[in-house]
Amino acid sequence: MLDARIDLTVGGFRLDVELTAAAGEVVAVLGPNGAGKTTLLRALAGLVEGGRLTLDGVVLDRLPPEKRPIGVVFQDYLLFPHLSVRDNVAFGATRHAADQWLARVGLADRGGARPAELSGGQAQRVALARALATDPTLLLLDEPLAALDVRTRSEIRRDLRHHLSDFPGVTLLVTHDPVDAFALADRIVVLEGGRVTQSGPPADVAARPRSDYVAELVGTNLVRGVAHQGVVSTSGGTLVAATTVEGPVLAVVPPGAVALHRTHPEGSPRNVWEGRIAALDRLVDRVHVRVEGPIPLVAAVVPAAVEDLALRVDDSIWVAVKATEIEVYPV
Amino acid sequence: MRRLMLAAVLVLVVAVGCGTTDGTATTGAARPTVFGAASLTEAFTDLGGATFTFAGSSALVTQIQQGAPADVFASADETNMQKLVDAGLVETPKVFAHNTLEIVTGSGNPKRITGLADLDRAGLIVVLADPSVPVGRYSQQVLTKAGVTVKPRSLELDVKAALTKVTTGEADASIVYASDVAAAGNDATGVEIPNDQNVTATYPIAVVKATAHRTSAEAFVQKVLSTRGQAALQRRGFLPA
Amino acid sequence: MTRPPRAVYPLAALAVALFAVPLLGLLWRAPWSAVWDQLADPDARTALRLSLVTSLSATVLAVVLGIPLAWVQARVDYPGRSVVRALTTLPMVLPPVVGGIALLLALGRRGLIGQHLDKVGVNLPFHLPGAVLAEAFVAMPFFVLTVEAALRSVDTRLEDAARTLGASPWRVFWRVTLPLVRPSVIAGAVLCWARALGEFGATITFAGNLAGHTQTLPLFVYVKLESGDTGSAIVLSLVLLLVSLAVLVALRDRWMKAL
Repeated sequence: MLDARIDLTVGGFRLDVELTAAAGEVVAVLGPNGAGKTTLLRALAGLVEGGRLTLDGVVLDRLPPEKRPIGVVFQDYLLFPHLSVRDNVAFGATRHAADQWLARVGLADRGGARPAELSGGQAQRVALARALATDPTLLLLDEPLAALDVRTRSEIRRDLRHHLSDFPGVTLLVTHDPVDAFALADRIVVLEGGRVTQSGPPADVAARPRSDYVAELVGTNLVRGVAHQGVVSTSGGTLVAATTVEGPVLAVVPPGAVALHRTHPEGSPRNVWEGRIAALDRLVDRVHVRVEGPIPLVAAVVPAAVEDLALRVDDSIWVAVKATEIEVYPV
Repeated sequence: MRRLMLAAVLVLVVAVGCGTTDGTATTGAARPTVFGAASLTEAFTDLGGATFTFAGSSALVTQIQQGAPADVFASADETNMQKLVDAGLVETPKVFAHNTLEIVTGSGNPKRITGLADLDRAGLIVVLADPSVPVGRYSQQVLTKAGVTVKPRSLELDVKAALTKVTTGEADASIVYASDVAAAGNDATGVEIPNDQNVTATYPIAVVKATAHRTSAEAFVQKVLSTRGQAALQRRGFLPA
Repeated sequence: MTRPPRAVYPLAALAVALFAVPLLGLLWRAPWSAVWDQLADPDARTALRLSLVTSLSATVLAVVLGIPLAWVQARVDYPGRSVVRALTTLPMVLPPVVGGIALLLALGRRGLIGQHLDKVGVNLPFHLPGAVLAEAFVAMPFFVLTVEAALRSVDTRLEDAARTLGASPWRVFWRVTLPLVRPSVIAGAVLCWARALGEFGATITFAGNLAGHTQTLPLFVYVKLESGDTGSAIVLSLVLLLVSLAVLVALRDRWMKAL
């Protein structure tokens, strides 16, 4: 059981975070670069001072890093280049434990190798074994997959997921990659500008983003406004939505729910306006069309539609959104 | 790094600038370059009229043999001068001063040394000049005459270094030229060595044959031999030629 | 790798010449037929042995004191750190003779600290430890600067990683930091030793010159030169050069990559 309140200021940047987690839980701290993720991790490990930390009821605030029951897997792994793989893992544990852990991560035959001779994935597994061999109560992982190339990444991610599920303590991993966070975590904590902006199970975070950063991560449109009797009023225009929520709200408009027309569309959509195409972003299987207008939105269309409609930047275009596809929730 | 380079260039420019100014002055007044024995430092500086280099006589001989631009050489002994005479590098030398040896002690003679016989006293720290320099050789002769065996703690490489060891209090006594004791002023006290035990150092001076400033070099030698030059030397504890 | 433009090579060759020509001068004038006699001279051997003893002792002293100094300088941010750096680099720019005088005024029999040392019977001038100290004074900056630069370039996150694995700051230093800078520690020690071996000015001024006690090989060479015994001086200079060159070359490939 982890209960932490980290509050510190480094070079004018204030980090103020409260975190709790249960044993066996995997929490992902997701945030953009400069949000304070690594600082948070270093503070928990005791490498920078500031805040209080209780682990299984034991207060750790005043303890130096070497006295904390915390294992850390660093970004770039930071294996000691002058020691063999086996000596790396045995650095904080017995040789016996080291051999056991090397076997568990499938590297029993690489014990004599130097870290420089390992592949990225192997280095990651050694770093994990090194941290876990100390038998920690809290495991911290800093961007554990960021240094890997795309091909090995999903395999290592599956591996990591397997090892984390066996780990009886609390796991806290920080990452800027939503894929890692959603694949590995039981709960996601979004950190922006040194503060937690959202926290919850991955599905909730994806369905109801609370910041533009999260909305962008999960690839959806986020609109702020005030709801009254099924109508959300924003600074630029209104959205009709099938909702009973009243007051300040956030509304998610999935890009797939935004339809584009050359002429004023016929039929049922309640939300129709004319806008201007600001940008066309070609993705693998679809095109994101950024449309300026009363309510700026991104529409996702298939590449063929771009051809059919002859969409170009600066063109005028009609936007239609079905009221039933808008998810509205209180701020 | 850039700033460092700039600073280096500036220093260089200033240094070259200074050199140029000096050079002009030298050419104008045709100041001779005089290589003098270390013991002559004060007396020759008083006299002036030349650019001086002071060092152990033997080091100066080596430098002149290797073509150092000296116009005049003044040695603290005849042996070193003879090396240059034999090599045909100098004109006929003239003796311009004599010097005798003295025991030098710390200011006020705290160890109450009365003569050479005291120098072998146990616990007394004595340094001598190395026998490779004239004063070191003379010191050996003086000690032999007095029948005293001294165990020096160090054999210093020139007379001034031996003197410094005494004036800083590192050594209790040494044997140096009477002129050096005079030069040390209040920092040291001399104990005279009786004539029958003493030796006389002979200082010869000669114009270097390869000089580019023969006139001014000869003029300097004349000045040293003149009444004024002799007076300057005697004020610094040398004996007349 | 980008090779330097052609114009650079003549300048580089000139630099080599600057080092090689004086050496050739020595070789040219060396009295080859008398080499053996010179080497058999017991005074020369004594001086050589003394040189090895003092320079190695000075290096040990520099390593023992220099590692803590470099460690503090590289890792602790305190007011006056740059002043301390300037101070500890000073012997590199100070004329060694001035260094010797400074040591004399501080540690001599009447010196600032030396007068108290004298009372408890510790005498540095005219004694072997004085020569060691003079050499260490002049040579230690070479060690400290080399090791400090190396410590600065160490990824301190590796030290953090070691801390999280349960290592105390001492253990981190011995098990992680020091092994990582080992090539520089060795390179710095060799540079320091080479400088100590050739030390002249500070040694003669502070420790004096007496065969068998404080007369190291450079002093012996100088005395020989003063006595007009140029041949002997040249042979012994070559011995000094050969000893240092042999060590430098032997270490170069294996250890000197840090230089």
